[in-house]
Amino acid sequence: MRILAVDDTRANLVLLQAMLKRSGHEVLTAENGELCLEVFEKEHPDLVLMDVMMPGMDGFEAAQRLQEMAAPRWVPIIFISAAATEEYYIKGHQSGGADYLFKPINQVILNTKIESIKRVVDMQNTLAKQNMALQEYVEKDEEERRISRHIMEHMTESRGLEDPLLEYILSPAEQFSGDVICAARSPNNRFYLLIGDAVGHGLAASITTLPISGTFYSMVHKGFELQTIGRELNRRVKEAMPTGCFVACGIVMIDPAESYIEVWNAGLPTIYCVDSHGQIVDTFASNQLPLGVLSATQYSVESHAARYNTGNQIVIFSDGLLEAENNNGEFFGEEKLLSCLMNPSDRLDNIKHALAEFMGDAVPHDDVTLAILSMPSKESIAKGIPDALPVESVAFIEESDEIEWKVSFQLGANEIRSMDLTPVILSVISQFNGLEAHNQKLFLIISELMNNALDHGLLELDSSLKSGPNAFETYLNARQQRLKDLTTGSISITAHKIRLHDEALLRITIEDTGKGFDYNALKAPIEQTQMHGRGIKLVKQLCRATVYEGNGNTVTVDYSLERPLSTL
Amino acid sequence: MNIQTTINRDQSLMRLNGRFDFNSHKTFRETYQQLLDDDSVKEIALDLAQVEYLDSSALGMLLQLKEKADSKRKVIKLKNCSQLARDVLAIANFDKLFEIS
Repeated sequence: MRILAVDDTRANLVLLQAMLKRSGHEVLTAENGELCLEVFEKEHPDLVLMDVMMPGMDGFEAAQRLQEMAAPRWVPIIFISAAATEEYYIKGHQSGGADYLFKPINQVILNTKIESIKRVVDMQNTLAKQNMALQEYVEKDEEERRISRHIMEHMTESRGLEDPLLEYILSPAEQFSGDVICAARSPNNRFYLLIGDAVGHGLAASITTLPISGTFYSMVHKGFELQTIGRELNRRVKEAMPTGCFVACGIVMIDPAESYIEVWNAGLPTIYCVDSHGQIVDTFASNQLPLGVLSATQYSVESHAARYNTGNQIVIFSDGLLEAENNNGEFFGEEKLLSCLMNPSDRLDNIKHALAEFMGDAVPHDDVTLAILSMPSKESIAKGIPDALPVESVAFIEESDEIEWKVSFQLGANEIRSMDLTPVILSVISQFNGLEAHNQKLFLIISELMNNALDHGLLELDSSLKSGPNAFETYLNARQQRLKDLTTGSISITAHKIRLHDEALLRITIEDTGKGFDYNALKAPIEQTQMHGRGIKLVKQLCRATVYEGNGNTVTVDYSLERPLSTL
Repeated sequence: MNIQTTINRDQSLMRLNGRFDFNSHKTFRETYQQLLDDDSVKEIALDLAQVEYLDSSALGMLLQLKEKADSKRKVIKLKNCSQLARDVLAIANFDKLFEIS
C-alpha cells in the first residue's frame, strides 16, 4: 500500500518509515498538518498514519480536512499518539479516524491494523468500480430507452385511432406498453380495430408488438380480409419472436356499408356486443391460440360475424383491465365491467371512473387497454358513399392503338378459394407510375367487379339474398360454403393503360367462366335504402364507361387517370 | 413460487406452489431442466393445485418447456388445475397444446 506518515518529530518519522518499509509498503512523509494536506492531494495515498500532537494544525484537524477533501471517498486514517486516554480515542473517531495506535509503536500491531484497513480499502475500491460501471449502465440504459420510446411512438399511426366509431383507453404499466391498439380504414371504408397483448410488460413486451402494428396497417390499407391479416400476423410474430413470446390478439371489423361485423378473438378476454339498453346480445370468447405459438401452416383464423344494429357497441379489452388489483388484493373483474356497460351513454367514462374508484391509490400491474366501437346508422353511412360524383360517361368502349402497358391475370379455382384477390391484383397495378394516387378508387372498382364475377358468376349467388334483417350474414355464410366447394371455373383480369383522344385511361376487363346474368336489369333505378346493387352503381359513377358483354360474364370499364381526384 | 419435485420411475411431478409469474422464471427453468436432462424421465406432470396466480409470462414459460420437452420426446401434462389456472389456460386455448386435467 501507499502510506502517508505524518509526524513533526523527525526521529519518529524515520522509525515509522523503517517499520513500514520492512513490511513492504511504499512510504510518503509529511512533517506537519499543512504539508500532509499538500502531499495527500498530490499523491493520493491509500492510508494515512497521523500523529495527533503537532504544532499548528493538529492531527484531528488535519484528518477532518483530509476527509472533506477526499469526499465522497473515505480516507482510512490511523492516529498515533502517546496519550492513551479515552477522550483522545473518541475524538480520533469523531475526526474521521479509522483506528488508534499508541506509542511506542509495536510492529506486529501496526501490521495487523494496516491489514484490516487494507480489507476495507479493497472493498471500497471494488465498490467504487462497480458503482461506476453501474452508473454508466444506467445512463446508457436511459439513453436507449429514450430512443426506443421515440421509435415506438412514431411507428404506430394514430390517425386511425381518431375514427368517430372508436373510443378507447390505453394505459401502460411501465414506460413501454406491451399492449397495442391499432385502427384503420380499408380502401372500401371498412373500419378495422386490433388490440394485442404481448406476454409480460415493459420493453421486451413492447418489442413483441412491433411486427403487429406494421403488418396490420399495411394490410388494412391494401384491403386484405380479416382472416388473411390474422394469418399473416401469426406468421410474423412466430418468425420474429423466440418461443414463449406470444401475443393475445383480437380484431373487430365493421363494414358500415354492408351492415356487417366480423370479430376474431385469439387469446383476449371475451369480447362483448351490447345493445343500447345495456343488454349483452353477443359474446365472442377466445377460440384460438394466441399469435406466435403455432407455425403458419398449423394456424388457421376462425372469425365470427356479429349482429349489426345501429346503436350496438362492441367492447374489447386486454386482461390487464380485469386483473387490475387494488390494495385489498381484489381484482376489478368482469362483473364490475359489465355493470358499467348497462348504461348506454358514456360507457367509456363510466368504466374509467369505476376503475379509478376501485383502484384508489393502487396502480394496475399490467397494461390496461379497452376499446368501444359503435355501429353507425344507415343515414350516416349514406353520406360516406358518393352518390353524385360528376361523371361524364359514355356507353361504349372505343378501341385504342396507344397501349402504354398491359398486365393480365388468370386465376383458377384454387387461387380463388385461397387468396384475397383484389389486394393482390391491386398491389401489382399500383406499382405503375402515377397509379398509387388512385388506389382507393381502383380498389373499389376492382373489388366490386371481382365480387360480381365471383359471387354472381362462379358461385351463382342471388343478390336478393342480401335483403332482410341480418341478410348480409346469411349471404356470407352461403358464399363461404359455395366458395369452399368451388372446384372449377376461373376469372381473368386484364388492365391496360391506354390513351384515347389525349386522355390517359385505365381499361380493366374482367371475365368469368360463369353463366352470366341479365345486365339490362342493372339499368333500373336503385332505391336509396336497397343495399344490393349499390356496388355496380358506384363503379358506374367512378368510371367513364362500364360495359357488359357476352351473357354478362365479361365487363370492361374505362377509368380516367386525368379526372381531378375527388375524395371519397 | 416454490416447486417440489418427485420422480417415480419414468414419471415425474412438479408441484408448483404460489404465484406463477415472471419472477418464478429462474426456479421453474432450473427445476424442469433437471427433469429434461434425466434420461429415465419420460413424462413431466405439473401439479397446479397450489398455484395462486398465473399470468401470461407463465404461459410463455410453459411453451418454452413444451418446446424443449418435444425435442427430447417427453410428454408434458398439466394436472389438478385450479379454477383460476383453468380460466387462464382456456382464454389462451392452451388445451389445444397440452393435456390438461
